[in-house]
Amino acid sequence: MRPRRPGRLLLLLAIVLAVGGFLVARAVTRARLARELLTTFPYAIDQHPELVRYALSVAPAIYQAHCATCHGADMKGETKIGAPALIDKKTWLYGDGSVAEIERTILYGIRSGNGESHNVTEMTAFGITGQLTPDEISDAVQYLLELNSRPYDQEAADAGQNLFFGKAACFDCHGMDGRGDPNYGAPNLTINVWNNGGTEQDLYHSIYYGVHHICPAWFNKLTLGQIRALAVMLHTLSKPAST
Amino acid sequence: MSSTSKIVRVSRTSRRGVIGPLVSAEFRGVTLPAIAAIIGLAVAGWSLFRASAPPATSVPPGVAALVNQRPILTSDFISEAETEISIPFEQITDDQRAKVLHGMIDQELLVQRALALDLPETTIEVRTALADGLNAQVDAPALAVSPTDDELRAYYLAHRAAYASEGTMTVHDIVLKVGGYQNVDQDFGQAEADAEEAVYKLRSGEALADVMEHYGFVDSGRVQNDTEFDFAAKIHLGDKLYAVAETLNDGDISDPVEMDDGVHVLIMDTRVLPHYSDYEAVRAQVYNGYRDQLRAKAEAENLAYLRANATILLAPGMKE
Repeated sequence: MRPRRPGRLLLLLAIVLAVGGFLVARAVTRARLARELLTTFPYAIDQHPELVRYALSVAPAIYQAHCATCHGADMKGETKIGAPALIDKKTWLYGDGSVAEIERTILYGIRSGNGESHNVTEMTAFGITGQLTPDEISDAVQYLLELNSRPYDQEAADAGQNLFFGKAACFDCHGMDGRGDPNYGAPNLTINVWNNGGTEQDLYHSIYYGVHHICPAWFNKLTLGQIRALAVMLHTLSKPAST
Repeated sequence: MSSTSKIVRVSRTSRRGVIGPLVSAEFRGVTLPAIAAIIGLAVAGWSLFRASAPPATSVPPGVAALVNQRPILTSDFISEAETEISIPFEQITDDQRAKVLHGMIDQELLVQRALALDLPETTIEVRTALADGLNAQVDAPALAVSPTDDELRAYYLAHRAAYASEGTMTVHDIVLKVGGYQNVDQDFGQAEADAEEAVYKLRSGEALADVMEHYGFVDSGRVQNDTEFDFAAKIHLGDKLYAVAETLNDGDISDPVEMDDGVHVLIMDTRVLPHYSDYEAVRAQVYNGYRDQLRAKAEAENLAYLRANATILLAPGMKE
């Protein structure tokens, strides 16, 4: 009896065609999504769940390869080098955490030296430049503790408040209410989130030595598509759960 | 026999019947390679002289406009629109967006024209801006580092003079000229001996005018015999005499100093020493100086790298 080869061959051919067809369809779909991710205005991407899903599928590998060194594999940041956590919208220094703002920061960096980067300000080194004495810095720290409803020394905090609105002029960047200004990358000082550490010692260190960390510009190092995917991922993961 | 094998056989027969007689061994040995070479040359020539690849007719994703194939990024367009109109991009009307993009295209055209005219080569402002822009990128990593107190203090100690008020001096510089001047016959040995005697008399309180007249000293003319800042006195006296002058106090007479034109003696009327600022008083300036030093170091290293990788030829007689 002859073996039923044609049947097996047809089955094999059908499987190959099915797999091949699936792969081709998948590649075509992803190519379309990659294109649409870039051609859709950033503010509208939230309205396209498939674009967000696509970005979330490609961005983690890019993040691990290029961003995790500073911001951590878990995206929780590294206070020792002032790399902020990226999973909390409250920590965004520049902008409001929108896709467009994040994308711009990735493109051109922070104090990267690129002409388009966020170069306007840096936290003054009040102590090492002698603008505030060690005692005054300690007072300012106590005021920060008060702003964050943490245990503090009332007398020192009052002195710190005077510094905040007077000699040190902290309000100029961080606002009269201490809630910061995303236009200048001045963080909110009232939510107990600290990119450079939140212990009293850390706060003292930040005021004494200032803060002038940099984020490199990724323009021409990553593709526009990679940068957009990263921006969408960070925007999505850092959104408060209620929105 | 299957129909397939028939077709194959017919095909073989056909090829042998039509082409076979035309392709002789001689033809294959000489003519075919020649034809291949001609075709190859023709293809190479066509590739070499044909027009360059046609310009893109569609705009790549992530790009708002292509201007002579140069992209204007969508991100830049959004940022520019938000900056100009001062509201979120999604609230900006189509007309406003069009106006912003129009302006960006205009600017891109001007930049391209400027490059075509080689403005970086010919316009000092453009060259300066380019160099500054590059230096800013080179400086950035260096400026991210905070100095410690110890580092800053060490820097201050190494650069104290930069944080001092300028000293002043009222000094007389007299000289016993040697050779070619009024004491043409006097050699340096004699002049040195006379100067030492003169110094002894001056230190003993003898009047300057009397001593000058007795030994033939003249005013060197280097200084104004009036109060001068240290930096000015240094320029006027020269390094060697200034090094002596800055060690003198009020009323001091220097030892004889041998110079090319003769033997000099310095008489210090008044000396106000530079005031070195206390570290605590100039911390901010020291901090800025420290960072300037980091900046300068980074830029020097970058230039050293660029020079190491550059081919620089100087014309005969030229130095740099």
